[in-house]
Amino acid sequence: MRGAAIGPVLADSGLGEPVLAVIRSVCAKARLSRAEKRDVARELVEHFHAGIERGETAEALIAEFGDPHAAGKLIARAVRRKRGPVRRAFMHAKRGVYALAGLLLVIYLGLFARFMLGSPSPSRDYVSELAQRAEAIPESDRAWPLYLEAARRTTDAPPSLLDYEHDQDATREYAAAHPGVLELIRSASERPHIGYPVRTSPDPELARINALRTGTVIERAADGADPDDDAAYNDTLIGVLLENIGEMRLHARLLEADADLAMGQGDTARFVSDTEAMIGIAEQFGRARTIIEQLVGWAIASDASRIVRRAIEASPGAFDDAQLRRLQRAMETRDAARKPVDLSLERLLFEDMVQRIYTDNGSGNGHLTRSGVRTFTELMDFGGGQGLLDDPTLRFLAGPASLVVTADRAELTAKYDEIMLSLDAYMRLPYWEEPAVHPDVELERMHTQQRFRYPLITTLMPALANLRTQQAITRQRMDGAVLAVALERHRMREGSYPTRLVARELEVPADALIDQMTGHTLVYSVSNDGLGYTLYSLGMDLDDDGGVPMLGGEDAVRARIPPSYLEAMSQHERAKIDGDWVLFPLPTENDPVPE
Amino acid sequence: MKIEREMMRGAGPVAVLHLLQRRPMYGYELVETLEQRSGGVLAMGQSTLYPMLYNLEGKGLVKAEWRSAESGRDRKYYALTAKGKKRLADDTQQWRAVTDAMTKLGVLSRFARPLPVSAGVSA
Repeated sequence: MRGAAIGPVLADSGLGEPVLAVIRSVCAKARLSRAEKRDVARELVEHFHAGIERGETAEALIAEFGDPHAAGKLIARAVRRKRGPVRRAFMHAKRGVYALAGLLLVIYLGLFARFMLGSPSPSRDYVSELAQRAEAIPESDRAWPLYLEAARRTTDAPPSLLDYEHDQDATREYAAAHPGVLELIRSASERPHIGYPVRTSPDPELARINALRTGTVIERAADGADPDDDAAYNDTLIGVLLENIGEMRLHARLLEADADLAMGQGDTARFVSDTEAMIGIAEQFGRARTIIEQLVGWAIASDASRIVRRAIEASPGAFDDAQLRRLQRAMETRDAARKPVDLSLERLLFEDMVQRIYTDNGSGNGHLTRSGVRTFTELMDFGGGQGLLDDPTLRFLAGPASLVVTADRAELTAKYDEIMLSLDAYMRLPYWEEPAVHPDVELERMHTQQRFRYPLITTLMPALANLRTQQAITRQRMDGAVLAVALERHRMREGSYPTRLVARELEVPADALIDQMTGHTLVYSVSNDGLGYTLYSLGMDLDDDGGVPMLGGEDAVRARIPPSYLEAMSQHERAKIDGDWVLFPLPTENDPVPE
Repeated sequence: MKIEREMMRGAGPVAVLHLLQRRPMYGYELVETLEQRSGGVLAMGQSTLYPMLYNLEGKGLVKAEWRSAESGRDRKYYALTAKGKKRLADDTQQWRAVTDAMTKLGVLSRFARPLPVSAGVSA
C-alpha cells in the first residue's frame, strides 16, 4: 500500500535507485495518508533534482540528507501537526477504529481457537439406560410381542387403512374378516406396558411388514444398510424411533371399527371389550414417557369416549348394568388424561443433546464447539429454516461468535431447570385456572428475543399450552362418556334421569362433574318429556348459550378463551367460538346454530 | 562552530521566516541560502529543514504552493503569510532584546572574535 501511494511519483522521477531508496525510507514511516505521502515524496524528488541541477552528486545529497528513518519520523510528525482539526479528528477516529478492529480480531481469534479446539465428550449413554429399563419389564407385561404378531397377521391390510383419513367402510370390512387379529389386540391391550424395544435404527421386521402391505421392495444399499438409517442419530435419545405408534394406531382403528360392527349386530359384550381395549391402548401410551405417545393415547381415548356416547345415545337400554359398569370403570380409573403429563423424558432428551453439543469441564459447565454445532444442526434436521446454521461456511465463521452470543452449558441448564419448574407447576394447574405468568408467552418471548441465547431450549421445548389444552379436552370427553354411562345406569335403575347431577347418586368421582373450561359443574338439563337430557360445558367462550352447540361440534373445541382475550376479539372471531361444548347428545348437523 | 540543538530550534525558524520575507523559496534553495548567508552556522540538514517547514505551515506562518520552476519541473515554494510576518516581527524583536541583554552582560561585545566561515551546526 505504501509503495502504491508513492510508486508513480518515484517511477516518473528519473532519479537513481539509491536516492529513491532514501525517499522510500522516509515515506515508509507510517500514519500518513496516501496523499500526504505522495506530497512528501514529490517534494523530496524535487529536492534531489534541485541539488543535482546545482552540480551536487547523488551520493553527496544523500549524505547531506541525514538519517532517512529519523527524517521520516520527524516529517511524519510535522505533517500530522499541520493537519486541520477535522482531519486530525478523522485520523484519530480512524486509528481508534483500527485499534478496535485489531482488538476484536484478537478476541475473535481467541474465540476461534476455543471453538475449534474443544469437543463434546458425552459421558452418559441415555439410550442404553432407556433400553435397560425397557428390558427390565417382564416379558409377560410387554404388549409389543402380541402387537407385532397382530402386525404380522395383517400384512394383507390395504394401505388406505394406514392413513389418518382412512376409509371407515373398508376398515370395518377388514376388521370383520380378521376376528383372530382383534382377539390378539385385545389381549395385548390388557398388558400394562407397550415394551417396544428402544432402537435408533429402523425396525427391519416392521419395514418388511409394511413393504408387504404396500407392495414395495425394501431398498438396500450395496453394504446392506437401510437407506432410511441416518447414522447421525445412532445412540442419541432424539434418534430413538417410535415405529410402534403407527402400528398401534392401526390396531385402535380396527377396534373402533369392530365396536361399530358389534353395535350393529347387537353384540354389546364385544362392543364393551373393544372399547376397553381402546382405553387399554390409550393407557399404554399414557404410561410411555414421550409426549408424542401421550398425545396419541389421548386421541385414542377421545375416540373411545365418542363411540361410547354415540352407542348409548343410539341404543338406550342395549347394555346391561354389568356392561355399563365395565365401561364406566374403564374410563374412570384408566384415564390416561387424568395424570399429569410426564416430562421426564423431555429432560433426558435435553441432557443428552447438551452433552453432545457442549464441552464438559467436569463441574457442570462447558462451551459450544464446532463439532457440537455440527451435531446440533444434523440432529435437529434444520433444513432451510435456521439461517446462519444452514451454510457450512457461515457456520464456520459465525461459530466462534456463538461462544459469546449463546449461553454456556451451566447457564443453559439453569435456564432449562427454571423453565421446567414453572412448566411443571403450569401443567399441574387445573385447566380453568390461568397462571399469573403464561409459560408459553415466556417461551414465545424467548423464541423471538433469545433464540440464539438458548437455541436448544427454544428448539426442543414442546408447545405445552397446546398439550395442556389437549389433555383438558380429552379429559372432558372422557368425563362426558363416564357421565353418559352413569346417567344411563341411573335411568335403567330408577326409570328416569336424575333431575340434577350428584356424584354420589351417579356413583362417579366428584371431579367428573367439573366443566374443564370454567371449573364449575357441567350444565345438565333433562328434556321436558323426561326421555332425554343435554350435558354440556360452556365451551371456549365460557358463556352459557343454553346448550346450543358451537359450530363444528366437539372437534372444533380448542383452548378456552379468558375474558380479557375475548374482549379483544373481533365479532367475527367471537362468532366462530360461540355456542356450548355439548357432550351429550353428540351434536348433529340438524342442531340449531348459535346466534 | 557547532550550534547546540536547542539554540538551533529557536534560531532556525526565525532564520527561515526571515529568508522568506523577501520572496517565496523552495526547500533546497532554503538549505543552500541558509548555509551561505549564515556562514555555515545555520546550515541544516534536509532532515531538519523539511519537518521545520511543515511545522511552520501547520502553524499558518508559511504557506506552500506547487509551481513550475525555470527547469520546467514543479517545485513546492514556501511563502510567508501575514501571520508569519507578524511572528517574524515578534521573534526579531525578541532576538534583539536577547542580543542587547547579552551585550550588556558582556557575553557579546564588539570585540568578540568573529566566527570562522567553516563552522557547522549540529542538527
